[in-house]
Amino acid sequence: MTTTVVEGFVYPNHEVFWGVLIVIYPYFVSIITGMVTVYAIAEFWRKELKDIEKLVVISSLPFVLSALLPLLLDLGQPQRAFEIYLTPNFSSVMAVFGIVYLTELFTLLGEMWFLFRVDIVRMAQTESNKLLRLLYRILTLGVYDISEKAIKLDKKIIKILTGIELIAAWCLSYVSFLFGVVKSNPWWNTTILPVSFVFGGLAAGGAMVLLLYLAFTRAYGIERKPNIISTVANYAFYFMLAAFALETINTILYAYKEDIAWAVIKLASTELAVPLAIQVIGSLEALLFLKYVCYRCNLGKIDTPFIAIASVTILVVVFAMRWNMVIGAQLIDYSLRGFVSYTPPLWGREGLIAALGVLVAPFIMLPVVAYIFPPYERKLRAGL
Amino acid sequence: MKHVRRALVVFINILIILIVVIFGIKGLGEEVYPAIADKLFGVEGIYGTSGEQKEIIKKPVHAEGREYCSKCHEEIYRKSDQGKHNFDCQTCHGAASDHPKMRLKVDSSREFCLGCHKATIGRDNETIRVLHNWENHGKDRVCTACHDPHHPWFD
Repeated sequence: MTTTVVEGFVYPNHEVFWGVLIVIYPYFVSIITGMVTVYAIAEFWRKELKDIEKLVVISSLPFVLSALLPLLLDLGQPQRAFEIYLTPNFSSVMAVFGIVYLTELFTLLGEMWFLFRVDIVRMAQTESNKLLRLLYRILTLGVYDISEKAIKLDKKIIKILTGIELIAAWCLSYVSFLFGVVKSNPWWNTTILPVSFVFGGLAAGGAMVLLLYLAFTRAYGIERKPNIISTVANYAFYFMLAAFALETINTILYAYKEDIAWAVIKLASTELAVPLAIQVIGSLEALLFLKYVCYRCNLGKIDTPFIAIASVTILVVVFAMRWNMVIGAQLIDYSLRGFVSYTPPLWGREGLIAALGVLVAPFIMLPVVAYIFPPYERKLRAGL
Repeated sequence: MKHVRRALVVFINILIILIVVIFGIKGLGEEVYPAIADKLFGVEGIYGTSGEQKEIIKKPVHAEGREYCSKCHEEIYRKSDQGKHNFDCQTCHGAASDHPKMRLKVDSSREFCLGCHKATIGRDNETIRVLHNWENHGKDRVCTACHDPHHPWFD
């Protein structure tokens, strides 16, 4: 680990154990929470979002799968990353992750199957590629029943699965504050943290859905609908507002209560100055842009660059929030009278290159999933 | 109806495989698969303890006091008693256990001595003799080349 003492009194065994990969882990989990929530909103409340239902489901799968990668790379022995799933246990906070994660994965897969069942049946009969047709045939499980009654039943089951998945996804986001709370520094050891983190995750998921909507509509040659963008952007706006307000209140409170954590203020003004600046300025910028996007969409106009900038900003801001929580919590010493600095190495198992690879992984998996389960009609893409 | 039933069958099969794997690996024992939960869905057990720690827990440890050593090593005992290295012999030599029968080993490397005498934040000269220039002091030689480990001071 690259740790150097910066200032104040630091206990001798102080070290930054969780690097940049452990920042990505809660970040991915947050995105999953947000995307599942957008899906649940589409399923239960907003009928106009039905169009992006399939898109959201297939794109949350790569994120769910690659949420394992940071753990795999962080742990010295690779089999330990999978022990979580094979040792269901409630005596450890981290072990519960295995149970919640498997629930999330299976409900997502079930949801995908029921949502795409009609498509699978159709493609099992018409697909020209022999290998793909075999795959679709296996996926139909031998039932080609797409009657009105069967589809109605599918929809009911999807609703139940979405309910379970939503609970699982919100429970999943506990891992994001686990890393802050375990360190038990006064900065993050607050009751506000879980709420703030769920909201941050919801905003990130909404932003990711917006970005993917832009990408998929372009790839498949579909006309973008202003009301979809405006609804998702509106949700993302309010989630972002809540997350930003809660996090800022928390930080300001500790900076104000100087007696409790001297190191917090010092850290905020030196070591974490850049991520904190990104968090504050980025949040304000994203909020402004999102509201503008909503306003324009309500007039029936779509400003693609503004949507893209707002979404990317939210994703960067939420990453900065996770960085402040995971790394920031570790920088403060238990003495509260000193802190260390952290610079991630470029190479190595926990380096920046590995982190970049993990960040890109879902976007490599996504085209494969989209090829097998196209969210929109494939013909249109051929015509483009 | 039929497709839901089939999907359920697939799901239950996956669940059964998972449970079989969990109990199968559990059945192989801790030697094959360390750090496995000792009790499912219960707080009991030493889950979270590493495999090494479990190995150590299994070993019988038999410790003795300084007086036990002094029975045979009277001379060394009295020598160390004069200085500040008058702590328990087992600190460096390891647990006595069946000592006369079994030979005790001691690590005489530089790193072993520096484990206590290296300069670290929070370690001051009042409590322990801190070696600030440990990188150059007696370079490339073991500490015991000059210092008697039982009485490291020169008279």
